[in-house]
Amino acid sequence: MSVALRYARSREDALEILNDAFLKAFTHIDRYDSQRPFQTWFRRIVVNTALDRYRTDRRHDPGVTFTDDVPEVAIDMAGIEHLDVDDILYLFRQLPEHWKLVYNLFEVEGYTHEEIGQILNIAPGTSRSHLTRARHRLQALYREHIMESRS
Amino acid sequence: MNPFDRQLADRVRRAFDAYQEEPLADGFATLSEKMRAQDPTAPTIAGRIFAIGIPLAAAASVILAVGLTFWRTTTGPASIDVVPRAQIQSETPAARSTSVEVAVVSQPSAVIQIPDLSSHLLASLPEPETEPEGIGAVPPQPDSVIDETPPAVVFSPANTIRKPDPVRVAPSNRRMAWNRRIEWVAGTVSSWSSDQMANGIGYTAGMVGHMAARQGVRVSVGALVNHNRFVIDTDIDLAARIQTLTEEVGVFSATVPGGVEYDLMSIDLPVHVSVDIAQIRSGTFSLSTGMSAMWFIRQTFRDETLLLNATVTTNTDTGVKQTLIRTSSQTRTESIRSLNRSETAGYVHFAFGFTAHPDRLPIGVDLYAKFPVSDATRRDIVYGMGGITLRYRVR
Repeated sequence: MSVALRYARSREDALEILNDAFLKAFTHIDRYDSQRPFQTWFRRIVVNTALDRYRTDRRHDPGVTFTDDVPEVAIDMAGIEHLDVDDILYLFRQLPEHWKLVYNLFEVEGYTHEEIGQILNIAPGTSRSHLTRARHRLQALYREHIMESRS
Repeated sequence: MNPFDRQLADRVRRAFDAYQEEPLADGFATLSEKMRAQDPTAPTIAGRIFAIGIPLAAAASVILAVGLTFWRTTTGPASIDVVPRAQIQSETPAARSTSVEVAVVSQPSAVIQIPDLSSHLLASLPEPETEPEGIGAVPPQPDSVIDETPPAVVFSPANTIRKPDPVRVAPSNRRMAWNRRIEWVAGTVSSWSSDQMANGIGYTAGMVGHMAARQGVRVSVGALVNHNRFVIDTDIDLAARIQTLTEEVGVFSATVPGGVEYDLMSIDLPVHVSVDIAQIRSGTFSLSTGMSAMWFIRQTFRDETLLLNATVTTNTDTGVKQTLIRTSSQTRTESIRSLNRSETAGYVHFAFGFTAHPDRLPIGVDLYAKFPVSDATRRDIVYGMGGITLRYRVR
């Protein structure tokens, strides 16, 4: 569920992804290699299901853009350790879908920009650009919402 | 990558790795419902048998028809002549004049057989008066045409450039000679899935060539572009779903899959056999059957989903149950552009047609149906199509 939550727009969306992933796992259980960990196999199914959903929905993506200006304010680095899943999900949901996707695939799943480019059918340079923008935006959001709410 | 980014990414990984969620009480029920819900979209066992049985029977009939046609072609009575009677009559005078020409130039046989080299032959033709006697030359005939006719007349273009003599074609070769016809084809396409007729209409257009294997039997091949656009509704009882949803007090939500709109473009490569079944003064009725290979070059799917949100309350004073239902719809579009993914599918084709007499109008019309022999498109749907096409003879 945690994997689906990172990719989904909402909790309901994550449940749908998880349901679809279970459905795929059940129907393709014959493809599972028992020599390998089930968790890894199923995690990949969840990620692929989320990516399929992104591809299907991307035509309706409003394509919101943000300025990359980050105010010069000292960051409370210690506060990062106090971020819980709900805080992170809140930050993620403020990101455009394609930025969030690239961020998750690169930072969490460990894909390279070349691999992300192949998965999302974009150039590796575009993937790098999305990642940079996602990082900047996350930093700005952290300042605006997390630090201010705590202060 | 600055320290903030590194630390945030590390925190994201650890937070989600440690995240555990309580299993949903109705999680398995939802999943089971979803697995059951897949059944209506996929053909049932009976539906599959129906969908596959008809095409198999149709394929068998095609093989039978083609086999019977060729058997009759090869073993049919020799008295049946492909060349029309009128054509033979018109060619007879020409044949006679040709034989006269042969008589005129009958002296050196090599000269007669290579008429295209007439100018060279004219230059190399030995002059009758200078030709030594007895060196392979034809002895002078007292009544020889050469002696009486100047050589320039003998090798005039009209005499030397001769067309093949149709009379000399053997009867067996005449039967093998095929008449050819090329037609533009344009028409409508209506589609159906294994269990319902689909809403929407498409078009088909292209070119088909017909080759007569024998009198009244033709083999046709061609290439057409098909554009199928149709909607297949999901057979879900919405009222029953709402009733189930609102049986108990509380807040409930559900999604109901709606129709799916298919927008498909394909290249159709048909191979058909047509047999004339009846002739009237204005034209000919025919039946045709064959196979079509369909190559999908564009696929677009639009899924409609209805979102239901129900709030059921009970008035504590009156005990009356109140239900508030909110609905919204969601559309998802999946599009596969040209050449990104192409698939082929097989279809068995049947048609009943009418072709106007060539002397009257160069057109024909067909009522056709194509039955699927396999599933097709990214969604693996099994669908057939039918409609009416107009043919216009261009050659």
